[in-house]
Amino acid sequence: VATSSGSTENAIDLLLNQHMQIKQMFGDTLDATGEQKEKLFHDLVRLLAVHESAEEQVVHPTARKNIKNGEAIVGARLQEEDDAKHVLSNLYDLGVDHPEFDMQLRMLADAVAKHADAEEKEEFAALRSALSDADLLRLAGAVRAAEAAAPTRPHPMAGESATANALAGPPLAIFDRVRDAVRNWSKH
Amino acid sequence: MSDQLVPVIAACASWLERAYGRRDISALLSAMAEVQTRQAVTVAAWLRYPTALDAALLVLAGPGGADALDAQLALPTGSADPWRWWVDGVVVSWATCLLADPVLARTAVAAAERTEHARGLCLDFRRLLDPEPDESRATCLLRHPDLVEPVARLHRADLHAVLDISGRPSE
Repeated sequence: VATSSGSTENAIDLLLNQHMQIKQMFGDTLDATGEQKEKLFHDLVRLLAVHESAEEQVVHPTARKNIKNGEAIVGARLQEEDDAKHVLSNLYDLGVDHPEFDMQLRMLADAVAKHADAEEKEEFAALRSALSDADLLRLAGAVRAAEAAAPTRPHPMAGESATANALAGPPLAIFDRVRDAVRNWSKH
Repeated sequence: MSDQLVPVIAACASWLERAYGRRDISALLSAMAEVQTRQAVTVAAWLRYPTALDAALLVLAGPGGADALDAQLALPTGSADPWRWWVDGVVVSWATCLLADPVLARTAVAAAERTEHARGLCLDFRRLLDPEPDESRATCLLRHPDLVEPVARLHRADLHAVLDISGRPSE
């Protein structure tokens, strides 16, 4: 999943964008052939897994507690996700070259699209109303932590020509002392 | 939670995947391993840097990088992969402690849920705490106490101190 460039993007906008990404990826996989199709399918498997995991980890539990009929709404979505996981596993066993692969992938794409629509209408819209802006930003941070790809740029301390990273960062004890000092300072 | 921890969490998960990921499993199992690792690293990062201020200081000072951990496992060092600069040795060590010890993981999750990052949210770290059989198979190396011990022992005592628990008889 691509990381969002805007750290102020709230969780609902982030999740809606990811749903669009998933739909696009189903289409790309169906259109591709050969090795490219296999690679795209593997990317899709990873994307679905991390996305559903992030929802299971933080979005659904938060919705369950904070929105009206949360328990029933989230329960239905979790069942759909479990069904999709089994279909995905079967598709994986089938392999992209199998004559039935495209038909089954198309059926999965339809099921995932319906699932995403239900989430957006019943769960996300209610969450957007129920949570404060600060809570929505914290929710977005937790979702990104569950999904973000590894950084593609080194830490600024690395410098332009650095190739190793043994010297980045202060020793732990110094970091802890600085942190304690800043904490104490900020309390006064 | 603060967005500032995101690159560190992603980088630490990448290091663990590189060091302990199984090469002989499908993309599906590999994805299952990734989500468990992410949950362990997230809990570890929230405990190590429990406030937005801590996270900001971490980004300012630099997380330390992957070379020391590589040396611990005698992995090839010196790669220029940019994410390696974002690896935090304490977070990685704590994550291995959690993956290899379900009881400790439960205590850690409860503590992580009380950090500033989790304020206003409800959380379920099921993949870490209660993996299904397939999920456990995907992380059998990462959850093997003997295999992760060289990394886990580096900062286990600090984790116990943060969780306010004493060392166990087996240690």
